[in-house]
Amino acid sequence: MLKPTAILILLIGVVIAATAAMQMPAPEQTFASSARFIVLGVLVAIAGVALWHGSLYQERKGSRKTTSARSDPFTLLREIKSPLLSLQATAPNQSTDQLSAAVEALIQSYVLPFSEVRHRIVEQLGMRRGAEILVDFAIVERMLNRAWSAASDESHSEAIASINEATAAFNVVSRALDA
Amino acid sequence: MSQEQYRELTVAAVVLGIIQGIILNVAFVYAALKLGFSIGGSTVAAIMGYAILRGVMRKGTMVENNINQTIASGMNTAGTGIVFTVPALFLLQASQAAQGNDSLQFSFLPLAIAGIAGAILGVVVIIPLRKQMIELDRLRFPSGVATATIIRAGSTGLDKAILLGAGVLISVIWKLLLESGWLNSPTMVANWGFGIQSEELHFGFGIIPDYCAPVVYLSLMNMAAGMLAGRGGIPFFLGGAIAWWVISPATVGLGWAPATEQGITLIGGQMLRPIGIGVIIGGALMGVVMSIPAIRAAFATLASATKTAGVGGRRSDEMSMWTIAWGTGAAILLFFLASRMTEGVTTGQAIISAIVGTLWLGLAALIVAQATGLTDISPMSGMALISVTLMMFLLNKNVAAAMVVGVAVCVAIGQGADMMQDLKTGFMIGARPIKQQIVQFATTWIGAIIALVVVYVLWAGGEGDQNGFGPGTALPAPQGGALMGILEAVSQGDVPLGKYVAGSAIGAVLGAAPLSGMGVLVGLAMYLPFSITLGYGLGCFTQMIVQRIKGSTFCEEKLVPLAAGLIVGEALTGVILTAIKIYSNK
Repeated sequence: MLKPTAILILLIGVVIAATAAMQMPAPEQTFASSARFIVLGVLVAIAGVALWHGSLYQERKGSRKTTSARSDPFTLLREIKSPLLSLQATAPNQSTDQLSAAVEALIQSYVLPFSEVRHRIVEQLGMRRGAEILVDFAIVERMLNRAWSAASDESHSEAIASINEATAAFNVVSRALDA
Repeated sequence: MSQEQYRELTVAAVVLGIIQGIILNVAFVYAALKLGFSIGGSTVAAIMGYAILRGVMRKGTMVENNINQTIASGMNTAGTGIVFTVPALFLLQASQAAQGNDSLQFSFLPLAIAGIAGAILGVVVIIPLRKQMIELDRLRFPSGVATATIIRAGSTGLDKAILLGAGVLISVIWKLLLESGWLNSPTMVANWGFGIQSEELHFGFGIIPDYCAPVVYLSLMNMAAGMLAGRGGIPFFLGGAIAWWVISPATVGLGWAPATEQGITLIGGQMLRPIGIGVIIGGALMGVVMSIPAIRAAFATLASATKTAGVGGRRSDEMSMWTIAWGTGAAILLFFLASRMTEGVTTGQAIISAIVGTLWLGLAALIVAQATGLTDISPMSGMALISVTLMMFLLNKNVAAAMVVGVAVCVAIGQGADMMQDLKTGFMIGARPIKQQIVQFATTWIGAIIALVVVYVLWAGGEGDQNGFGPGTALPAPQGGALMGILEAVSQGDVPLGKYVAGSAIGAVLGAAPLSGMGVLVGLAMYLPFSITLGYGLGCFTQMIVQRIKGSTFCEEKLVPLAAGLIVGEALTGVILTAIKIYSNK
């Protein structure tokens, strides 16, 4: 209810200010006699904008309370290893349709959930080390995306090569995590 | 296909990207002169890319199409930078000439060089930040995501191409019908208040007063732009509705303007227009202020990008720093030359112009890339205004020289944002960043030149080989008009300052609202004739209704290509008819 009210107040303020600004000033004058209503309208509009921001803050606060506890990013990251290695091992024997489905499932089940909480890596390990891990992991993600694209484009060899690159990049991530 | 090398950076993709880039550039420069804003070409290019690479050539891949759209959107965006700035020079020169003042002189070459420098700098300054913005910060870049969605949509390219072609055809036929005058019914308009006249449908029926502007512009391009914007374009429509359905009647009611034709001209031309300019400026500047968190993040990005340089860079997936350094050096040199070649600029001023301009340009590109990544709204107009104002102070109020910098900055910030959007798309489909960077680096400058030529050609399409766009013509060039207003204000002071100030205050408040870009959209709506805003709003509502009934997938697969076709069809017809008119006159 606060948000529509805020928007309405903003609009009323804008209408008052803009209407007041329409009056033509007397010769040699910059502002017309209605200038005080411009100020009034702008103040009303500012109140509307402030209320609008306030309503959004309330919304965010409410949504934070209803959000469940997030998973641990390190656990999520380590959990990717097994299905990724499994995909690498079975990829040569799969058709391109099967490959694109398998890569999509891996991305949806493991990669995206980690991406949701990846910022905690930096929070816990610091900018330098956290950034190293995230930048390397971004290569994993990009190469999996490439594997999906290649498989969808029926380029079997490129899909496998991309999965291999993703696995190699993941090994770098694993070593950095263990260091 | 499985035995072949995976197609990515191919001759077909580059050639198609350049061809599409040229077409989109011409079409959207024309559209921007008409509507006051441009449209990103990525989605259109991606749809057409599929149609041609996969549908016709039967061998296109997603990453190959991504190269095509990277080139096409880069060239198109370069045009946006030109069309928001250069028309102001023409309009100002004509305005001064009408007052017997011919002091403002400019020529094609410095502007072209500035455009090229801006195009190169915009790409090179943003490349080092890819890892930070896309891989670490994971900025959203909504348009980049939308383009990736279209590219990933897969094998339905030919269907979309048919819709695109149908849109072009419908639009061309409709535009020719309107231009021919066959649909005009001036007697009906005069007697009944209903009918078509000058490409506009009048629907007052003698009941709705003229000061409520009961007129809708029958441009399919205009409606299609609204269709692409959908819900996001509603503030634009609302701005116009408030201006002409609330403020205008109130003005007449208060006795500040008579309810006659002269009164309506007064309301539109001397009241709403300058207020609208003020709102655009206030909204754009507040947009920059509201981007301060993004600006701070951008500085943090620079610092951490230096710290993390080389991390994950084992593969040759990034353009080398040497290439970037050489590109930057060459662009600064071009910047200097462009400034030095402008009349009245000394060598010292050109050096200042090149150095300060490059520093400001880098910062502006960074800000706009961040803002685009966070919100998809680019505060380009605000940056252009700041650039021109800053340079007018530094260059002793030399308008032409200041605009050379303005052109470079505008082109550069557009390129920075576009490059990052394209790299986001590339990330989502697994493209190699270096290949995208190479093609954008190599081709984007062409867009600046083409846009400049189109602006010159359209200007020459008016009476006496000039005045082809601007207020009172079919191409009102609202952004150019707004910038011209500022140039006049800075150089002369003989302007409706009170209305600009009031408008700026209103725009600043709207710009501070949580809905990004609201100030600029509302200001544009007040500035433009309501017939355009109303037509655009109808397009927005059409999209919203279709989306509600058929869903967003239907909109993406059917409405987007059809709307894109409508835009391209009318814009190209407009440009071709203008060219024919120019040829016939000569």
